[in-house]
Amino acid sequence: MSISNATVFIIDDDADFRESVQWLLESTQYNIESYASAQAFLDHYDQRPGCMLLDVRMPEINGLALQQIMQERDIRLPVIILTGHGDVPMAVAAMKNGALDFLEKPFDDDVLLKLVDRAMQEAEQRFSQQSEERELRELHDTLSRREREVMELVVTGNSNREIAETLGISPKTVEVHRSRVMGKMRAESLAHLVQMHNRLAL
Amino acid sequence: MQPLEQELKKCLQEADRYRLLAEQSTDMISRHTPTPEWTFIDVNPAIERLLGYSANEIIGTPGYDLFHPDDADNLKKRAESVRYRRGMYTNVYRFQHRDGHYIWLETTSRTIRDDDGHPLEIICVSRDVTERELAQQATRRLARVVEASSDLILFCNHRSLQLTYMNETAYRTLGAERENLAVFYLNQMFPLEVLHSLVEPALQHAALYGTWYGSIPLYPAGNPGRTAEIREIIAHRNRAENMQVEYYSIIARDITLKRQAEEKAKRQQLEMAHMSRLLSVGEMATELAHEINQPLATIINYCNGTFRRLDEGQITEISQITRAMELISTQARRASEIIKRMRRFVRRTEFQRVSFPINETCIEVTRFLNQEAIDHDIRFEFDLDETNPIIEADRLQIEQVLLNLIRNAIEAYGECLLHPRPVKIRTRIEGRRLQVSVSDQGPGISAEQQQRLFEPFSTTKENGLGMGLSISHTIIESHSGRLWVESDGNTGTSFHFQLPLKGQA
Repeated sequence: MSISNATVFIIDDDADFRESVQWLLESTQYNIESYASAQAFLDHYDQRPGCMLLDVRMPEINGLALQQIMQERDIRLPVIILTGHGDVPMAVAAMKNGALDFLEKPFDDDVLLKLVDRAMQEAEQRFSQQSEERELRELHDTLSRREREVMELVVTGNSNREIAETLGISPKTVEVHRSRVMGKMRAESLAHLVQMHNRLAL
Repeated sequence: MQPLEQELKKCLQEADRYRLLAEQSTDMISRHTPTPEWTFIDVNPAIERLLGYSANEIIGTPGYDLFHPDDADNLKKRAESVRYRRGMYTNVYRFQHRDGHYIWLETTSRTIRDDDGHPLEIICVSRDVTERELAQQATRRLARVVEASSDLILFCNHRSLQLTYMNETAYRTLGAERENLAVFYLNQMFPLEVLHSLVEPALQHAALYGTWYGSIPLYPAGNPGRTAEIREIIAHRNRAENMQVEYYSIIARDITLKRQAEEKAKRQQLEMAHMSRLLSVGEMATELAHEINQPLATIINYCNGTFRRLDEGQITEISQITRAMELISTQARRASEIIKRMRRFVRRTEFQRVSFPINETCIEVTRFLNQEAIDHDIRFEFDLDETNPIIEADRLQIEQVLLNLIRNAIEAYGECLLHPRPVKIRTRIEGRRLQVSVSDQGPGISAEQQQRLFEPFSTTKENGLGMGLSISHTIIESHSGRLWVESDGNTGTSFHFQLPLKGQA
């Protein structure tokens, strides 16, 4: 992914304010997309990479609720929370929900642009990580049931003989499964396989 | 017959006639000693009917003892009840009956003297005037009641409208001197338009039907600051002369103190209403600050976006930033509208009755609560009377009531799980009145809570003072309306208030 064609998603129920942020960000390299509500965003979002400017105070689904929905749906857009005057408790809650940072309205354009840049770097990491994870999962999906069992036991440090005993098969057969696992997962070493396993968070 | 004999006979006949006259007379004729004891020397039989004594019984006893103690010395004191005319005294006094009670006697007396002028005896003719005296006494008492009445009582000539009598209170309230009564006329007491539109019709009504009841304000020119009110006019007819109206009695009341108390209560109410508005705005401070912040943040974004473009040389034509400029001024107006609305709401004002459309006011008030509605996921639902009813009231105070009721409806939802949460505002003409209802679908108010709802400082909110409903109640009552609550204590609450429509107050 290249951050230059990433999108800044603006979610704010105040149309005038939304447009003003758009006017401010139009001078940057990013695409801008704005939505009047959390629901409108969820209806249109198609996994494109980018970051989000999110107003905490909104009718129906507020900013905090949207953060939770995004977590459930594995939407990893870094979120910059926009708060009004005196919304400190909400800002704290948003940070606990995993927001990257928060900005109090009205804000300085330099601060906003720096934060957006930082969010986009974070996004690049998060999205490449996400696509790696997706690839790993696809590889993992090609393993047979027995191969998955063997992989589980291998990465937790069992020897072939121990695995054979646990599964009630011969060490030779374990060896065959083990090399198939390494091959299918495209693992270069045992350490690499352990790493992949961790990333898959099985 | 000898002339002397004849003369004597004639004399005797004459004496018999006088005796007969004295014996038959219903007036008591008596002779008394000219001493302080006033002893009876002789008396005619009429004494029996008047005083219960027989002549024989009383002759030789002192008359003085039978006087009422208060009247005994009337003659000596030259009391008001004693008149003197051509050697005869007329005295009205109480005299004791044989039974012990007193009767009123009017006695005319003459002193008989010898050639040297020494008094020989006193001859009296007495008449029972008890009935007359009691009637006069009642009249005198009535007059005293009229004179001492705390109401203003005036008698007025039916033609010239000259005031012929004013009681003490009337003098005091009107600020007039007793001596100047002659210059007082009823029509001088009123401005011309009041005279024509109120006083004259009232007099005509009284002349026609005997009595008029009502209320005509009276502001005495001679006594500024005082306020009175004519409440009754009675036309008195002359019974002897074909029942023509003879004069009017006018009864009025000095209502200065009452007015002052009313004024004071009204000022206090205004003061309370103002304080309650300040409290409301205080409670809404966070929301209002947020609302004002929004356009300000927008303005700053447009400015910074424009600077950025200028810096980067993106702007080649002024038209590229006119849109931003327009939007900036729109936002500035938006911010100032919010501030204006707030300032209008917290200002201290006199009571001002104006005509205004209630529907528009309902919508305006919900704008004021825009942010609060967003934060609580409130949907305002309007069900407004299509005839666009106009009411006549203090607009600010009615807005205040609406604000209190709508904020209560919003807060009624509390932790309630319902989303979105409707707050319904309904206006309807009901007969000659306008009814406004604000309803929520929150958890309702129990019958027990409803009883104390309109009392001051009764609140269920953590940071409320419990003034909102109490002041709303007072405001609506002072507009001759009423405010009440309806709730099943479970599925919602409706507050209703009714006000007179314009021209029906």
